[in-house]
Amino acid sequence: MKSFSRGCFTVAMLALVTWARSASAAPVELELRVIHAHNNNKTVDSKLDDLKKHLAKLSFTGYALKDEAIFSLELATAGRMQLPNKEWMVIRPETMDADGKLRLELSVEKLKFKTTVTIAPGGTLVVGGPSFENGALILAVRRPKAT
Amino acid sequence: MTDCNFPKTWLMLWLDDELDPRAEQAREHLKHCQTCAAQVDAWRKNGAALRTLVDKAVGEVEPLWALERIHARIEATQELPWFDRFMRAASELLLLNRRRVAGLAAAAAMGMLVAPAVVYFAGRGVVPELTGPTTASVVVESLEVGDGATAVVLGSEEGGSTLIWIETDLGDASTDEKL
Repeated sequence: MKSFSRGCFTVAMLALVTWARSASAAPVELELRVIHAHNNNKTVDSKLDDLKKHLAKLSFTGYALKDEAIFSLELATAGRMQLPNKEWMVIRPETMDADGKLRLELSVEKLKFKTTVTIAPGGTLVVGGPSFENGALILAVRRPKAT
Repeated sequence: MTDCNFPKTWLMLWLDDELDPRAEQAREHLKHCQTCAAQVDAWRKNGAALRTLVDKAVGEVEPLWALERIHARIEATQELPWFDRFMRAASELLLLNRRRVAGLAAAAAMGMLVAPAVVYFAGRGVVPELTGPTTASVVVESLEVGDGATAVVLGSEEGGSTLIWIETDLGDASTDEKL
């Protein structure tokens, strides 16, 4: 009878540990796009349709998608990506709020640029400005709804 | 059997071992009265028969020996500490319903293993939908730029995204005109 009780207790503890690990280790998914804003032509990449309203605020005529990546990062873990101008961008999800909003840090070291934002599922952070090939670079960080 | 007028109630008092002077008189009377002695003997036989009858009737519901054992066990159990009583009851339950208990234990173990996974995957699918884009999907909490640089924060009409524009002294002058 004692071994039966110990067996049940062990199974319960293993289940609890499994649950705790799965809940805390859920990675955060982030979609990154690097865009070259220019005046060379009037072409806007079709993959940038969701950003058209943002891009319309700028006076560039053309927007080309230079690079894209999907980061799957655990909290407090940084991801790095090299930009076309050879600068490094670092993205780091810090904490997850109770309401599902993610606190995210984005930095470009050479520019001494660093920002902390809270981003809800489906939200997009657009950072632009660094000059590149007679235009500018724009970074778009989107948090998909499914994470 | 009817030719003695000695009070029958006195004889019954003696038969029941009552501590009564009349019972003592009945004992003395029985030493020499054959009639009353025969009467008392008849009562004894009838009483024994009646007790046997009662035992049989009760025994149909629960044998008396079983009742005695149950009473003995209840008393013994009440003397045990609560944990020993619990373990004893659990042990008896396991012995009497081994298959059912094994099934329940297996179901409970499966539930404990599966429930966390259900909660985890359900949470991944449901919670983000409940906290989808609102009027403030992206909120800028802090912003730092290097010396000589300026940052502008713009929100979109839908509130689903936020634009930060950085201007640097080293940058293309035309960038300033783009905003």
